[in-house]
Amino acid sequence: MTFRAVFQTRADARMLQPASKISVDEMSWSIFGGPEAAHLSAEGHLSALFDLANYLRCPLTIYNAQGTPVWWGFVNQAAVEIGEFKLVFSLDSMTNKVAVRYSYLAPVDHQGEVCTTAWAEDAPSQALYGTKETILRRALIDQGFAEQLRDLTLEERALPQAELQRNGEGSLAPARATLSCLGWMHSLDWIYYTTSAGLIANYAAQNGTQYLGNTYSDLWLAESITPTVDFAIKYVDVRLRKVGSPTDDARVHIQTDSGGNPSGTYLGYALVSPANISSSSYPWLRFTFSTPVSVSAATKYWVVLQRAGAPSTLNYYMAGVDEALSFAGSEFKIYNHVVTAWISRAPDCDLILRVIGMKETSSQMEDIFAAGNQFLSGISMQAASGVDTTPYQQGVVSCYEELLRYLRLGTSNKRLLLAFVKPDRRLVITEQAERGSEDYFMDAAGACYDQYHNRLMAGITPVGKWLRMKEVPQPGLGGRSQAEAFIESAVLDVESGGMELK
Amino acid sequence: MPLMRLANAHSYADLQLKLKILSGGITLYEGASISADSSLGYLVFPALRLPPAPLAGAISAQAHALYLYGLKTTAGGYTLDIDHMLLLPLDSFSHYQALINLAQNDRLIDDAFEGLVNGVGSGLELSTHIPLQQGHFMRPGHDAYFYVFQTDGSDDAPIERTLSVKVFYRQRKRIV
Repeated sequence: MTFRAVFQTRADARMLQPASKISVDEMSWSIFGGPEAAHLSAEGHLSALFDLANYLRCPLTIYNAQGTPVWWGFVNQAAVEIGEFKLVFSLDSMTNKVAVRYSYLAPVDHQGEVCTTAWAEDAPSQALYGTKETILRRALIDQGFAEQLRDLTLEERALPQAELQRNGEGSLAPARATLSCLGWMHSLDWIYYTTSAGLIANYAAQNGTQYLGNTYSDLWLAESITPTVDFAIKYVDVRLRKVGSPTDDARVHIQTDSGGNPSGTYLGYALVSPANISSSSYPWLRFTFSTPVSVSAATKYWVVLQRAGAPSTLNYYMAGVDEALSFAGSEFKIYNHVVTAWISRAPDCDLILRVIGMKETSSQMEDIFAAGNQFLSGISMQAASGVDTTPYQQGVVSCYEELLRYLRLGTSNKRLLLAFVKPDRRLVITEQAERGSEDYFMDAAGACYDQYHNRLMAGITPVGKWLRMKEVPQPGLGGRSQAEAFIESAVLDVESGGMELK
Repeated sequence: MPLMRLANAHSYADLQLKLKILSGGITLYEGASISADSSLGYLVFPALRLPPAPLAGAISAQAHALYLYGLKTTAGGYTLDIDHMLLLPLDSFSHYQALINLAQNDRLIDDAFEGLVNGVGSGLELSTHIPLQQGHFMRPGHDAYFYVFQTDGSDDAPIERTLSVKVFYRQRKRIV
């Protein structure tokens, strides 16, 4: 098998190829990105070998003998082996945008407040390699410690550092270099993903109660919310109980704002029957909107809690509230029908609530891609997942990890979502093919064939396909062959031509 | 290798294209899809075998039909201004990726004996192209045809451009 690797500049322009003789040793592919990793080796003059350290983050494409691109990605690591030692230059430890998330100093047996420093950035490194973020995590430190740690880390790691390692090959082996390359999907691992979409919540401990529909002076309760991003509200959870035996539903409206009060114009509502409301404690009670209510960023809305019937001092509802006012930037109002006005409560409080939005995961993946993409040309979502989840993400998770989470979650058809970065670097997401619909084949010698029994060319793999043995009859159970396997990854050893399939 | 020349480049983002080979209405081959780059005046498809499966060659093959399939994720009417499709043989093949464009009367020399590919302009040589393969061969007793597909500095493939080809050969004595 012969393959040719062609390198480009970091700005994606063609350039003179390395002076050393480059060989492709191994390539791998995965259903979560297509080209996964490639290992190349180089021989030549020592200066030419060391020059390969300048190829970090340079794009490369590997072609088969027919001129078809079979693998593409970027150089992630260069290692030069000289005698007993190996000098390794890698992007793994390089970072040019650093923050520290830490828990603040706290007395024994107490948990410190979780804080995050502002980002510190190295613009020259970002211009050269692209932005690569790192969030360091530490416990029980103060702000000054965290900021010093951040700045020192950035200073040390803004450019790739040479690491000296013992060379297992020994001193007699001629000098050589190796290049380790990663598929473009891994570039999404360089940026963390956060979104406020899908969750607005006051999780404070309950610190007070409030009548709802006991008299006309507490007919409706309302808490304001102001989303930071657009999303659609699917659920509102509140802490609510019933007193006595109310027969009318509890109801939640989402209303627009008018002069700092609920406008009376509701965008959607949800009901819960009193039969489903507890008469003890204050459990979370879920209101489900049959049609999700779209809300816009930076716009004030009101979650209005009501009872559907008339007030009663014997049969009414009570809501759990937070008189510690933990829900910053929000307001609580009570509608007093006696004076026909929204009034503030004394003492003031916030409703304990969760406002939850849902979004189809395929749409979320487009958002994640947009947040983390630096080097790819675009995304083509060719399958709707049909699965809705809450997009909210404030953890220390990269865009790559978040995408993988949703790819593995699959579709409502109980199939995986597959991602392939194409040679033009467009990320194409498709649904796993139905078993038996376009199965590939493998013969006893390990050669692979497409669904029309055409032998695959060198470097073309059955990754993302169902694979069957050619020689095995296909009666199967319930129309399924027992000899089928779904191929999630492949590793090609170029020298032997052997391909390991998983 | 299928190469499609467009009379005019398209302007669609996210246009996927693929080729299928059918005979008697039965699909014999389906190529991987490519993203049709709107900045190019041509499209390069993954290499395919014609016919897809080996035949005895004792008699003529049945007719094979080549179909082009397009995919856009948004519904609508889309037009490709196709000029022609060249099926470039791959028996002795190279793709020369230009680092520096050749000017009129410049030469590109693929020297199979020395294993070098160089551009020559104004009597001076320079490494102007990256070859994916190096050197061409002919087999004795077989007719040889030389096909060239060229593009310009704007990534278009104007049909009015011509080039001349000179072939020198040396007989291979032995393969070791």
